Amino acid sequence: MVSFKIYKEMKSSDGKSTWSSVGITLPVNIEDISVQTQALTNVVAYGETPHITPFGVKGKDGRVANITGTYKNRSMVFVRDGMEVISVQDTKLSGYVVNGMAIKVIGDGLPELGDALWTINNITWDRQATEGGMWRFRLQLGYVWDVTKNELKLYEDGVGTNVRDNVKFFTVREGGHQARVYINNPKIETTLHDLNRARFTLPYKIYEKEDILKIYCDTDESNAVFYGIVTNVSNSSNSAIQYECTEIGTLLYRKPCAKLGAGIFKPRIRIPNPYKGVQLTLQQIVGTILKFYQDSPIKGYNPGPGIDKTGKWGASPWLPGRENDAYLPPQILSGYTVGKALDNVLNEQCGLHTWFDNNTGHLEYGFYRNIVTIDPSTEYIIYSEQIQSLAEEYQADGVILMDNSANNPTRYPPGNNKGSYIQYQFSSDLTNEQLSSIARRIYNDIRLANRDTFKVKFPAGTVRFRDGDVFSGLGDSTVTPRLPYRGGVDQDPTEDPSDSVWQIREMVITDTYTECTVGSTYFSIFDIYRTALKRYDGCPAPIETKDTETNVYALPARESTNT
Amino acid sequence: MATTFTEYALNITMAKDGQNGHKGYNETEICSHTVDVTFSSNTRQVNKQTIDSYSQTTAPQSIVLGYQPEIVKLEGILCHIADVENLLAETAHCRAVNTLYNKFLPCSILVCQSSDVPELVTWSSPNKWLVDMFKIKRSKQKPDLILFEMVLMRWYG
Repeated sequence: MVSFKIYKEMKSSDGKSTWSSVGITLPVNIEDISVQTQALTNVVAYGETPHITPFGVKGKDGRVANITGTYKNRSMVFVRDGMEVISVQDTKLSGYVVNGMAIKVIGDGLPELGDALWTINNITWDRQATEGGMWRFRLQLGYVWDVTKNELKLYEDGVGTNVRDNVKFFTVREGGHQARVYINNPKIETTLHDLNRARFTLPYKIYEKEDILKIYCDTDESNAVFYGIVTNVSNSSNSAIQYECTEIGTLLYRKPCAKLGAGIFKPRIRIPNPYKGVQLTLQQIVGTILKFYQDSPIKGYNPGPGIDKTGKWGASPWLPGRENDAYLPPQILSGYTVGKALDNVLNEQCGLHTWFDNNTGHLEYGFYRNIVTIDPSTEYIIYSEQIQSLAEEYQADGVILMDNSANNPTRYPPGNNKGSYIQYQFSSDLTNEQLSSIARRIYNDIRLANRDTFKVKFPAGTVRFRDGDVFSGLGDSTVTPRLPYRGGVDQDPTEDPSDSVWQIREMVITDTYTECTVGSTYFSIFDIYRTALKRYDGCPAPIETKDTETNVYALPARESTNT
Repeated sequence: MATTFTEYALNITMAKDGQNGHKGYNETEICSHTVDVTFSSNTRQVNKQTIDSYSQTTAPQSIVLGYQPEIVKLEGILCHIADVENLLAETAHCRAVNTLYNKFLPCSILVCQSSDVPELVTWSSPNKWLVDMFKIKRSKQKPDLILFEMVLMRWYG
């Protein structure tokens, strides 16, 4: 005969549970018991030998116990309404054991359950007349893991010792009512190449389009994970209200690089360089562009002066990586918004990335953002996999590049017509010198080996990293193909394209995991012209002219437009 | 069929070869176990892609893509109810929670040292098994015996 101590779950505001004793059951007789622990693994069944990735114990059913017991001391007439089979003596809160409560064995009469606390997932019972009206009940129990103990020994001591499997996110609106609102299904997507986005749902409508929000994770309430503006409010599939947000920097794309004076519209805007005989620095050009916005800011947002994360090129008049070679060119800003003009200068001309600080909203630019060091106690790798090899499918012996009109295919190396070729088209018109220069850069870049991209999954609440950060050390030797360890010090792509660190290129942050896409810091020609440069396969047709009118089908000639 | 295993913890580290941020295995020998196995079964399965056939004269074809891990299921006697204390004493030095359900830890690696179960020992190196499931059970038919079931996956890592 065994008695159980009964506990009731108390939820605290941080989502953690504590268990409070509420009484003891009368002795029951145990007929059958089983305790099962199921591992959680990922099996890749390809090739000669499968690859197994062990994760630990499977979710809520990882360790379960099933008990069949009998209870003779009470007949039906003595049981109060509700017909609960297991009564609790010395009760404080409830006279009956119900689902959601937890039990612990008193004494050593049931060693299978040990000293652990088990939650009651399900209770069923019946009575059989042939057994004298005896109650028979079945309990399905779930194990309450003690997070302070490295029970499974899957990870070494100190790794993942203070990790929760889910976290809460909350929003705070700027201006007006600023109370915290805890949100559901958050998904924050950040990328090196675009403004960050966030989505979440709430059961009610509290925000309107154009509201400015910050999103925080409850593991770090002083640093926002996202700072942006609500761009869409709609019903999601389950009728909850879904909010979509775009990063705060989107406001820079609403302001033109133009001066709207009293009755005078000045659409042609240019930043001359050199100006009065002096070469402007990158920071001066950035500051000049930002002034178009700061003269009449939107919604009070201030992007700041532009923070140079390279620590070098902001104060330099040279194009990054081309010191004593090429000055920053003059800027024609007509028709550009402030955001697009900054993209043009920083991204396309200088090969830098741009970010907006999640707390201040200040503009930052550089090759990388911050150097982050893994803290294994909270930021261990759950899983990693190679998702993309950005290398072309073959290493061509030569490159052919043509511009938008396809009139002027340029070969690199020039003059060599042997071996395999790979052909690209640039989406705007270029001079011969530009074509030749870009073709040479493509030829060199497709020979780089470090262009593989991996997805790396971290536990929930890993919100310290930002897109653009580089890891001081990251690698995974437990997967196939391996995520090679890179722990070098070469973070600057202008120094050496064979970089030795992993950079976060994209991130997905949710309440159950954080996933980083990591790749090379090297800013290849394909990064610089990611929208303009395309693989092209076909005959580079010349522009048709008015004398091509004919009813005879003919292939256009390469050198002549006459048919 | 007395079977003896040596148990290794995978001890996943984030500092493989002294490099912070580098995930790797650091297999550590923990202890050994001897259990009485009364039943074993072995499953080997290929992972194949079948190509539909719409002809009455051509059989459907398939391509072997790879192999599922070899699986061995064992059943046996863990201990007599009177010997629980002695059994737990064997693992007292290496278990954070030293109980019957932790006699074998999920995701730990077992190396079979000796057994009368041929499939556990006859295969060439690596002779390692990952604990996929471990279950203890007792019933009123044999209330004095604590029985076990265990599912092992061959560990190729």
